[in-house]
Amino acid sequence: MLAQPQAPAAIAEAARGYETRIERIERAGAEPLAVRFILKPDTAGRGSRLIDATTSALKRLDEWHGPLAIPELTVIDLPWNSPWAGASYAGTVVTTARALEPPSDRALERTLVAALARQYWPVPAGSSDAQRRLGEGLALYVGVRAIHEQLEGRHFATARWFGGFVPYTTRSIEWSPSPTDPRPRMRHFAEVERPAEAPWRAASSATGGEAQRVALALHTLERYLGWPAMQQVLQGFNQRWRAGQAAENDLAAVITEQRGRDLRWFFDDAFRSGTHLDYGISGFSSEPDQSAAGSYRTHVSLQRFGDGVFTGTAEPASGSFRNARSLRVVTRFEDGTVAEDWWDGRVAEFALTYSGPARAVSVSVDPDAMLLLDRDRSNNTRAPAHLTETGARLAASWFLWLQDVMLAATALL
Amino acid sequence: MRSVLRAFGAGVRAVVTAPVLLIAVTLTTMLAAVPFGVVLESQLREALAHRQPVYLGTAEIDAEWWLEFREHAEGMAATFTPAIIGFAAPLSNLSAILDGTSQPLVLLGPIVLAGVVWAWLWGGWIARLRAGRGLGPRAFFRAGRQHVVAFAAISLAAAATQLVLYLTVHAVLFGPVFEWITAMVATERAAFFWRVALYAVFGACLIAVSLAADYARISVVVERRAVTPAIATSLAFLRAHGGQAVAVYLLIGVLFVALMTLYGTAEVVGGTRLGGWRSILIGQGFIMGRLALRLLQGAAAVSLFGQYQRPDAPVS
Repeated sequence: MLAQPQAPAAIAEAARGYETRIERIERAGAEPLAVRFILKPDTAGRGSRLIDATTSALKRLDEWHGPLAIPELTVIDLPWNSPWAGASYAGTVVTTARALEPPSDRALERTLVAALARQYWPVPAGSSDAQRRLGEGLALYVGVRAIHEQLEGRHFATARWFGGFVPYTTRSIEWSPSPTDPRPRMRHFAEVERPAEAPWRAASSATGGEAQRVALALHTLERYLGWPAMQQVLQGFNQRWRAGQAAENDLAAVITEQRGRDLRWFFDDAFRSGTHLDYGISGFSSEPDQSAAGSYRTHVSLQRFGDGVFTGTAEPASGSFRNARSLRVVTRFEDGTVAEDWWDGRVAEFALTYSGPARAVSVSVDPDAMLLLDRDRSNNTRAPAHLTETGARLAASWFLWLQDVMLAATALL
Repeated sequence: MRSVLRAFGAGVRAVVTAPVLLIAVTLTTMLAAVPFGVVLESQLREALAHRQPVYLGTAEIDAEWWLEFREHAEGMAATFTPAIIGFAAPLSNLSAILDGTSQPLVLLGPIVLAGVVWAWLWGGWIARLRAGRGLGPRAFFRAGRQHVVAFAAISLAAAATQLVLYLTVHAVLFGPVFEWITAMVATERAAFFWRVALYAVFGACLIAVSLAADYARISVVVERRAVTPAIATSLAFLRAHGGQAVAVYLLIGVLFVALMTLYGTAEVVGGTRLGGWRSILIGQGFIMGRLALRLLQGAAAVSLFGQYQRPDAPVS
């Protein structure tokens, strides 16, 4: 079994004299878990919020991974400026309930869920760099995913102003829409990944770093396999992880065992932060066909801008034959027809040509945003640039904001 | 106290009896923002068109797409953040002033333009107040044009002074002083109250400079002074009647807080019923309210200045 590093004595020292409550959390298939809550005096009134969040997060994470194998868990609520906020050590997690924290601000839950998720992916001292990077990436991925599921439908954009003391929630920006919503969900929360360098992290969580790349690869894998399959993979791999020394190839092996699919092609490029994956549209035209009256000829040029490939198969290429269906290409025409094609993403440039009675209006490679590893998704679609109602409202909001900036900046001059 | 209330009352009367001017000032503010809005609109239209189809068909903007957009955004588009939405906009701007948050360099253009527009508007507004009646567009334009250079110089001097305040007083108060305080206090609540106290200290410095600029402008129009003597007159006036000037400013500050509270409450309580285009209209109403308060501050200051004007002072 892996032994996670113990919490430094300074954390217990910082919480000396705080109120303590002990709750027993019932768990399916395991003994109830005793959770000790140590709450600072000025936020002890919000203990129930902390307890509820802990209970539901543990149930969810247990369901995903199997029961957390520790005899007791301690949840400590430290002051807002504590350097230990978000810390997660063996059997100990640290959160910070803020003085001004209305129910619409879910920072408390985000901190707690992220720290609890880390409990399931312990990385012992002496682990290899690859294992540390993988462990941190898994903690980031599971933390974000658990936050979305726990806060689904009641999680809105919240910013803190006035020195970070005053929160304000913008309810028109939903951070955790329903899981049936096909759009990708936010992958970055400050409570999950900051500070990037922290003693409780197995590796740096800095943007663009290796652990973030692993997390992004896992989010992509989930969109590729689907969550039910991914959850089974997570559970299977977690058992190997807790037994010690599991690595990326073990994760690939679990997928092969469970799904019967060889995903080595994915792991070759997806988990390497130096590999640049970027597919896009480099050319798109739809003009009347000179050789056939009433017909249009549509050309779509696709390009692999990066050195990484997303082939969808471990099989080698067989000449010009596309033997995989990894990237969907959808072209829409004026008469409402839709042409769907596939590209295995191997060659640097790939062209599609259509002839038909209608002019093409848009084209998109990976229209479902499955490949989240794609570094620049703004080049994936070509469509007429007309302003939608949502866009017009956003432009109007920005216009109001600019007027306010102009007023605020000149108010004191 | 009587002079304060008289000045405040005169200010309210001046604004209430000038609805057309208020509308014109609102339209001018909007017009000043239009060129930058056109730039942003084209960038936004392009970016929205390039969204992957999975993002289409939703009524509201997607948080994940927004993050992605911001990663690649440059220039004016980089200012397109969630802080632009509704009440978050004035709140974030107010916070930026008090916290001294640096603004993107690209905003320098709109801010300088706003400074020039207001240097011109103040000339017309003070001349109208001085005349005690509507001037008509031509006379308003002429008065604005007559004083725009002097007023721009006053604003520039005020801006330079404010910059020095940010680099010195603000840096000390919200750097070592606040860090020392947070190390001493036991609770976040106490730290917040201390921060509010520091905001009050720094805010007082900003207001002092702002008042000096206000009364210097009035001196330029009312006493036909050049910029430097007008600033000297303003400082002398504030030394003699600073209490009343601050009291008038604070009374208008109370109205500003009430306006902010009203806007914030409407957004929080109204929820989705006040979303969409309704929220845009409410937001523009808020901007109009702010403009009314700014005109009110000018009018009240002119009235207060008039009450204490020295008999030997040159009069326009």
